[in-house]
Amino acid sequence: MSYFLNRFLKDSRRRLNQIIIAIHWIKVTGWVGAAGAVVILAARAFGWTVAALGIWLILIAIGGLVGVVMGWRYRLDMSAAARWVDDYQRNAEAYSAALVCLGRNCSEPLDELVVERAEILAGNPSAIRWPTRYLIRKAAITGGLLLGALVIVLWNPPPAWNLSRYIIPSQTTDSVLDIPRQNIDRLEQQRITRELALQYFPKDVKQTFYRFIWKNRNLPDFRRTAEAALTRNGVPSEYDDFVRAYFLELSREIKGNSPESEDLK
Amino acid sequence: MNRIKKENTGTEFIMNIRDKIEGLRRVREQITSVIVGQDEVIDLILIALLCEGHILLEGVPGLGKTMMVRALADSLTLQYSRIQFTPDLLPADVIGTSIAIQDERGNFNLQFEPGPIFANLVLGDEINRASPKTQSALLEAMQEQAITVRGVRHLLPRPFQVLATQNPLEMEGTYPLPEAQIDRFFFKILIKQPSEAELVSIIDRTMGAAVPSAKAVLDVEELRSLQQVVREVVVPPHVASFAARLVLSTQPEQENVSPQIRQFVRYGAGPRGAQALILAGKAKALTMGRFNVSMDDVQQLACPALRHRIALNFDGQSEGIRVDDLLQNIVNSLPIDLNRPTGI
Repeated sequence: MSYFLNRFLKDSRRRLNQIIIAIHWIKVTGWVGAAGAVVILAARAFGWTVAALGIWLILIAIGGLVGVVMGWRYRLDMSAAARWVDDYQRNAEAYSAALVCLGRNCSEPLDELVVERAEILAGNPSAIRWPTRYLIRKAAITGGLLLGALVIVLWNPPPAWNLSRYIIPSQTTDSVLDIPRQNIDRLEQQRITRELALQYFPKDVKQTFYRFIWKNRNLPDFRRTAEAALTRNGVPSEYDDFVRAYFLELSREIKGNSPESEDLK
Repeated sequence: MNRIKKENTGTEFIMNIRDKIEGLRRVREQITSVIVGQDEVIDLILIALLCEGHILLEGVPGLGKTMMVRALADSLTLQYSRIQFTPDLLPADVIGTSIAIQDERGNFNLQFEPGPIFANLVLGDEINRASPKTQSALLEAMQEQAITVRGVRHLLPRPFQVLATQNPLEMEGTYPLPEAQIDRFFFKILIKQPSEAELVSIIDRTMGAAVPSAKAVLDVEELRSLQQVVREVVVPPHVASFAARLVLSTQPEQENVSPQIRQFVRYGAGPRGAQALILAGKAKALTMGRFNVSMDDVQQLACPALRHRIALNFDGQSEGIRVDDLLQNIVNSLPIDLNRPTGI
């Protein structure tokens, strides 16, 4: 085989086989990576994150090796590479025919003419755009899948339905119950206030009393005072007078009027 | 035909081949100077001539079939004859007969008088008008390249090519050729009506004072030499495989054929079709100055080589299915290389 023809066909065959092997490598790596990510997610449920990640990476490496072996099996021989180039360049099967002639040592009358034509073409070959589009597409999809799997494995926080935690922690309980507890205190204060108002003060003071309580929200003081008064057997007159005086004072501060004024009626 | 010996091929041989291929191009120029607008038909006739294949021409009257064959004969210095087939034409009118000749002593001897079939190029007009007996006489001569009269075998001249025409208009009173006989034709060529520009050119050329005619540019020996070289053209294995798969794809009983073939075709092409494809591909390559058959050669010759070897069933005929459309679909869908890996 002439130098140019031999070099051109060998180079073409090498490039095509590299692409074929790369396609199989990427394909198998992608499949193994995707399947392995599912296993990772299941293993994390038992807290085996680091070990599962290591196994995943090893599986991907093995898958890549298997892909390379598969691609090696599907690699092109010289005549298949020649057919590919003939089809791409649309040169009327020049290289395929030349290989046929060279295979029989140019023993037929026209063989040398066929080889001569192929040699001329190989000496000045037109540029070939090697078929990497499929390979790039596969690589992009596989890379995206593996990256997505990696993100899911490394960055996803432990899920709330983690089986090792059955009980809500006490801090959470306290914070959760604070608000109802505050509301209960407030409701309790309202109840005591209302009862005291009904029990100890004449009706004409009730309205002022209610307005004052809600406006100033001074319930804690009043509650303490009222509780102290209620804990004694009945209501002693001195506390009764104290509570009354207290509220009269408070009402005066609001309106600046005595309880006998028009507002208190 | 004798093979070309390798030791006889050298620079001189190559130069001669190239000269003869150039001569073929001059023949084409001569014919196209006489016939307007039938370039593809002329190319196919030249290919069939190189392959010593017989042609079935189909077209309405007046498209220049006779003139085309005469121009071909003139440019190649071939003997030319025309047979107008009629229902009353007898086989002896085609192949010849023995007639009684009186010699000087007054004795009568039977002497074979060759018929019009004894020519290099025979144009058989309206072959479907002849009776089956007369048709078979012609077809037998085509197959055997010889005729036998009263036990005596008479060889036909070489090269010998029959161009038979069928008139698609008048089907009444005709005897359509049986499919088995049609299969013996190398090509079936459809001759189309000329376009307006072509028609104007025809009027200009033929209605003037000077009527164009072809000049001899290649002799018989050179043509015979080219016919020998055609068979030496190289066929890559995947091209032969493609031709075989193409022919098998026309057979409805095969697996993996298209639903259209299974539905509309009664029977498909056979081994003669594959032989015609490859041999025609070799001739086509040679006319283009190449010495190996390409995939394009086989694809472009699929219709002329196979259209008459495929028979439609009743469904196909009633639906108006065209065999050329079926063939084109097969050519477009058949993979060129079965072993190509995915992705390249």
